[in-house]
Amino acid sequence: MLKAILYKEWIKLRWAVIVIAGLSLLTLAYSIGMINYYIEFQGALNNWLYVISKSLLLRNIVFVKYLPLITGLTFALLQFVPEMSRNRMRLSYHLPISEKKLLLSSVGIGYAFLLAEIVFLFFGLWLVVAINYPAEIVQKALVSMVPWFLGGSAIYFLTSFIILEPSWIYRIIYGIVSAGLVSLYFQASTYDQYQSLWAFILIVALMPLTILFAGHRFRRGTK
Amino acid sequence: MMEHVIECQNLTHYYGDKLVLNNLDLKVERGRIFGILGKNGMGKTTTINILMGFLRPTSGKCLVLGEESHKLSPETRQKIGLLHEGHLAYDFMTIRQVEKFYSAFFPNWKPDYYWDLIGKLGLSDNHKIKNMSCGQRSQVVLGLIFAQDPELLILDDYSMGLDPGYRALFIDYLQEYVREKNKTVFLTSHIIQDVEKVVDDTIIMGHQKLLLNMPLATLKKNFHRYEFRNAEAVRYLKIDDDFITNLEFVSNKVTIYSFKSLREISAFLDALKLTHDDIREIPMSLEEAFIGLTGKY
Amino acid sequence: MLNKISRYVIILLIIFVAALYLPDFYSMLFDKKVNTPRMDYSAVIDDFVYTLYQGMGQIEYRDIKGNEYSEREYFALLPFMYYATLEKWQQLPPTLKGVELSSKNIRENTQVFRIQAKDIDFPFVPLYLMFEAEPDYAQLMIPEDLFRLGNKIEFIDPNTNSVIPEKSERFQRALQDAGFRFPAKIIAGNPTNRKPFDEGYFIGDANGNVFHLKMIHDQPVCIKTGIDPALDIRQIFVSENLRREFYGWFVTNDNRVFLITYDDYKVRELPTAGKDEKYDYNADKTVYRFYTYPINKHIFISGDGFVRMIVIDNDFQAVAEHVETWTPYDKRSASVIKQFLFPFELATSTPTNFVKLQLHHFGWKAFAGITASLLALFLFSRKRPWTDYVLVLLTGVFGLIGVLLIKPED
Repeated sequence: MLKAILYKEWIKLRWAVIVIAGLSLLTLAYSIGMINYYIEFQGALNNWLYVISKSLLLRNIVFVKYLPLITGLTFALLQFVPEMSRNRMRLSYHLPISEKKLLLSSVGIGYAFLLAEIVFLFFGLWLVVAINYPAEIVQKALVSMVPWFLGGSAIYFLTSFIILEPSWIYRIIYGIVSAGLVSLYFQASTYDQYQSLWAFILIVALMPLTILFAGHRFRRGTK
Repeated sequence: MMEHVIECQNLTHYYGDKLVLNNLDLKVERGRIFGILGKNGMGKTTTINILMGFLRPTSGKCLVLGEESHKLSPETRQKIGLLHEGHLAYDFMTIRQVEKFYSAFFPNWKPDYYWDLIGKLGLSDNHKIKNMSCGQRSQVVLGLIFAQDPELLILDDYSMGLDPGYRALFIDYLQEYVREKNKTVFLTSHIIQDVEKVVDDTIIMGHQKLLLNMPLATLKKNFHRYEFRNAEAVRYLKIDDDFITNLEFVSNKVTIYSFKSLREISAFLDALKLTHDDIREIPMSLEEAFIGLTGKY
Repeated sequence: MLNKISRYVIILLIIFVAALYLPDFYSMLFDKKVNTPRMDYSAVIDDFVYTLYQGMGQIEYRDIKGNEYSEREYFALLPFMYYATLEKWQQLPPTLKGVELSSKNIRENTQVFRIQAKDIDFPFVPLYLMFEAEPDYAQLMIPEDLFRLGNKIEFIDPNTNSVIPEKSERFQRALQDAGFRFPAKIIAGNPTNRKPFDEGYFIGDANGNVFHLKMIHDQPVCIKTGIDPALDIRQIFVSENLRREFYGWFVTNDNRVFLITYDDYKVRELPTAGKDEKYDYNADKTVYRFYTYPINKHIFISGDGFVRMIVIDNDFQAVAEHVETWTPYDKRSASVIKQFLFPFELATSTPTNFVKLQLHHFGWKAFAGITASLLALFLFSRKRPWTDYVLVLLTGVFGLIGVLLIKPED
């Protein structure tokens, strides 16, 4: 049954997965291009100094900041808008599988795809940065990306949650709360600015649980 | 074996302040085809939603295959084939994909039923459900329900959006399948003539009340339409639950719908001192009886 | 059960967001800006003076005895501050207490620094530039490599992104020969060539000893400074200034501030603690400013609701001290109401430029808001699970918002 759910989510997501994979490659290519351009243009030493003191690297890899956000949003929309339009979710809730298992596995599968994109970006960037910069800069750049990835994860879970909620008033409330939550992950302006990420990780880890309540409300016919 | 596949008691439901179901009782016996008829907005879909646990009734309860309807277990859901209002389907899937998807959930999956039905559509397996007509989609949905091989079929307004050809086709397949395999069916419809041939038991729902709970044959036999001329009658006659089920006035022509015999009605009118010398029964088709029962508006 | 947990997760997220944004939003609406006096010390009248913004572009000039001054009079009281303007007005006297008051003399004998929380603790990339301290050119040249200093010192060539072994070894040996114990704990220097000369780096080692490392004619020079490790230094600052009175300054973990003098690295403690510890220097909460002028040195310690100004002479002997106070933030009416209204607040920004989730709770005052919230829940919506009440008991108005917005489903 899990395989069937995977199959259904894959049907909904496959084009997006391919397009996002393409965008990831473009993002990496853009980052390589920008880094090389600046090294060429400024000279290696000056470039390093700019990278260290002016956070230049974060500007060179700026698409890494927003791609997980776009991916999370796209995946959630593609997975759950078709389910919720014309109450199609009833089809799923009538399947002989518990609604909790169904919801958590659908979200889990979508998140697995998102995570794959994130991991790909992470290691891709690692490679790109490590070629040109010393370990100190590589480490700072990688750590700086983590809040962005958490932000992408947050928007995925929260968008899924908002779509699965049947009532528009609740959706608006959730939307406001979500905006407040997601913006938490995009506060940094320089490297490694989050002193401790554990609280921020915990908050994202709680988010998948929210969809159960939305599903439950749908199941109960709450308007 | 339990006696009733579906059993509802004192089902009452409000949407806000609006009463939709008022103390509805119903029982569906195994192996029977049970129809809820009624015009739109009379609570047919509400009843189905309660049966399938998508709605919790304000009061009262339903048992479906022995389980409380608001918490049907996955095992029980496996035994129920559900046709959602408007032939809901995963329309982002193709004919082949949707079959592959559903087959994983049902251990008794019988793909032949599905492909037989689909074969008659003459569409490619890679045809997306999104791009189908409502009639074609109804065949896909019915095929999926048949292949699921459920004990109980619940069909919510299967006729909606179907042209007469597909409606007839749907009923033909359904009848053949159900009779052959001794399934229980619970269906709702707002078009009576289609179901006339298939349903064993019917209830007809009216505004906030149950209008009728009997086999259609009984309705056909016992429900009458009488006509007479009396300009005064409009002041003395009104609908009650006993003699006059429904009433129409057109200039001085009076039409009474009633379960009473001509003699009983005549006595009733006499008691009211209403002349009705020209009273006569006008025979009705089932559809006319349905409209007579539920009203034209 | 899981559905109930799910509802509480949603409510927790609402509480979290509310506690982050609502108190701030409240302050933005209701907290009024307090005009704080700008203190200074006049060597002309030997007393403290201040300006106070009165709104509508009006500025009041006074000394602390209450005498009022015009703008021009006030400028004349502070020649070390306003010498350029005074000179333009031709009101700069030739001397004050025997000290020449020329622009040049004042400029050359003035040095200023400031220590804020974000100067002590901040996000940075641990790579450094070692300048040639005695260049053949008129100005400092940017070197061609960077170095890292952790468990060892390594110079890295940006062109190849690889370690330069020979130079690294030379510096490693120099550090070891001076008695340096790895790993380095504090590394302080100014990686810029916009300075008149270079003093390299002051480095705190694993034992708390401070070493002075610089490069002269391409060779490392490493000197153990003899600064007492018991001082427990938190952060060092280096400043290359032509006055060459001190190399820099440092802050200790017990909130003391010292200058490192050119007199063989002897340290001079600057005033930090005073009679009332409310007005002591605290590296995390207050700002420390130091001004040295041809006459006297001024120290300002400013925090929430006060500025303390200490004047010492050029031999570091106390001259005068004054504390000016105003209502601190948490005593202002808007803030007091806030503390009654909200049981706590969350913040992510810190004074140190880091992002960190912090909880500030308001103590017993929260009782008022919590009681009101419980009452409101009871009045508006009686049929609630006991857990809703517990949540409101713990989180006050935030919890109330959460449980009222997200009703229980059975």
